[in-house]
Amino acid sequence: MSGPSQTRERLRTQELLRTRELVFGYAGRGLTSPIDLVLHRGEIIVVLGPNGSGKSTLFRTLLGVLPPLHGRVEWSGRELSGLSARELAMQVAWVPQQPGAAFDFTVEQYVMLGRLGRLAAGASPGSADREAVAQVIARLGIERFRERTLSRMSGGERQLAAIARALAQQAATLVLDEPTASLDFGNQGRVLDTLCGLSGEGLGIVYATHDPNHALRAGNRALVYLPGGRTDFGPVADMVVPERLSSVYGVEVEAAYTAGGRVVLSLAAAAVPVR
Amino acid sequence: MGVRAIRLSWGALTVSLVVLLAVAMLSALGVGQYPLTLPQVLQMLVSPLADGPRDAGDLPRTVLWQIRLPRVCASVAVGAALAASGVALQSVFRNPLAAPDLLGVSAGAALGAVLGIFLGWNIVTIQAAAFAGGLAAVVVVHAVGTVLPLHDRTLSLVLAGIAIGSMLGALIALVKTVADPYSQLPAITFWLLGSFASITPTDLALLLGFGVVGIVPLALMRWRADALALSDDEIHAIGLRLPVMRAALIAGATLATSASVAAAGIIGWVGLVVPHAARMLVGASFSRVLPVSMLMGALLMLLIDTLGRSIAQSEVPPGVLTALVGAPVLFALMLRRREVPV
Repeated sequence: MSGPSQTRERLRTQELLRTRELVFGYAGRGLTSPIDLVLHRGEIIVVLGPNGSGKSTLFRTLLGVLPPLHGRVEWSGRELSGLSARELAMQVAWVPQQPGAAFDFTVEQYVMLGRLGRLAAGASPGSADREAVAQVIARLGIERFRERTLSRMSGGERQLAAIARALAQQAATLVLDEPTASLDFGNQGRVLDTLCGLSGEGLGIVYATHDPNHALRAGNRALVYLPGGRTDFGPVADMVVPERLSSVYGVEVEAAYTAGGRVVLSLAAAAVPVR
Repeated sequence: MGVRAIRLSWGALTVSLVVLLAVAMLSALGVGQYPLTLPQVLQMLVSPLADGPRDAGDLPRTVLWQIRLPRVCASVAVGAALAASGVALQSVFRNPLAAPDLLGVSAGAALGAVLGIFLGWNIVTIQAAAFAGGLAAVVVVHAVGTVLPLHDRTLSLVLAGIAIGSMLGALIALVKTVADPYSQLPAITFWLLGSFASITPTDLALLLGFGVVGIVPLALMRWRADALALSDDEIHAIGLRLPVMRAALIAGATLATSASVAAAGIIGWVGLVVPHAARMLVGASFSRVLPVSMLMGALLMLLIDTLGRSIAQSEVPPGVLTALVGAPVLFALMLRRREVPV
């Protein structure tokens, strides 16, 4: 007999994503050395790297938009190239860096877009779809914006709507490209808390960020891009440390400790004093 | 409030538009050089054969069945088809200000028809040439747009559409310069401006047939078409196949536009302005914008044609009125428009 805690344990070890010697890039030119990473249910992988180092390119490869140059990507043990668009959409949902839409949908209509891949050609969304939409909107606490159009929402609210849209897809993994970019402090915190909460519910999450503190706050493992196309993958506690970050970004990074003993990473004091 | 205040209940709006369109059609059937009263129109419509077989001497009956009814139905069908094409192309191009002209559809269909007039073909062949021209233009635009080495596929399609469209315009101008200035040129010029004056029941049947075939894929895709508002990568990640969706919508819109151009010439602005106005009334959802745009387009085209044939001694071509009405309306709509960051 397996109790709830054992069930939870088994869920945690369920593998969602694995890359084997994955090399990605454009026009046959690989951006990094081969990457082997693995994501389990309930885990968060944080991707850290300088601008232009290929975080978005990695995501496009994981999502099957770009073919891998070498190696393979497996979603729940199945090779990416063997999955249909629809099967892949059951595995992974994606939130781009600046979510938006060419037309001014209400939040409800926008979240419904996440259900469209499940509909048969010509079919209309049914009560199950509307239920799923209502559920994720409630889950993210944006019910009050249900009827509001995207153009009337702040960046943070729109980010939550985009996460809701991805969740409506009911995929096992969520991939987010810099979900906290251009958000204020409060919204950054809310988005990170949301990600932690979702991983607690068993979702696998991969996201990119420019703030290493986000990795400490919401992350189990980290993929860091080092100079010269090298990468490193391991527990956040090993990856997100001053020495490694200094080498990733080419600036000096310091660790400070709060009164509560929490680590805070910061750029070292300015070499040229501010007048 | 603001924009929200004019966002009506979708159902109420659709029903009122249907009623309005029916009333407008009945009224338009009575308007003209030979006026018919509403009871006359209704009586002839509900009992087409009650007074025995139609004979040439029965003037009201001939006016209604042979002239007015085909014309009223054609203007309604063209308005609906152009508006539907506009809705579909605006979705494909992710641009609320796109138009059927953007893909060179209208220009291609026009070149086909102008060539037909120049070569002295009969009406059915001219219509076929217009279909072929419209479809050929969109295939070439799509091919050129796919070959262009731009990352942004939408931009490459738009650029290809503009380039091919102006080439087609040049070819139309070329045909006009070599056309016979007394017999062919007036016909070409008049036709390019658009007209419902010479619609026959055969024209109407062709228009309705091809128009319906063109609009079916749009209606079938009314839900998933909304996903086209997202980026290519997002559409892929949702599990939809972008090339299939894009091809189906473009083909349907092209067919509907070509059918309109073949029946009534180039009538601009309807496909651009009407979907835009509909979106302001019922929001962005394709499944709502499509039917409301078709009803509004039908109503607008009917009003414009009825006005065009009754305000002056000689008929004012509908293309002239749509442009005169469309441009200011577009500016007014744009002033109210809210930008959504993409």
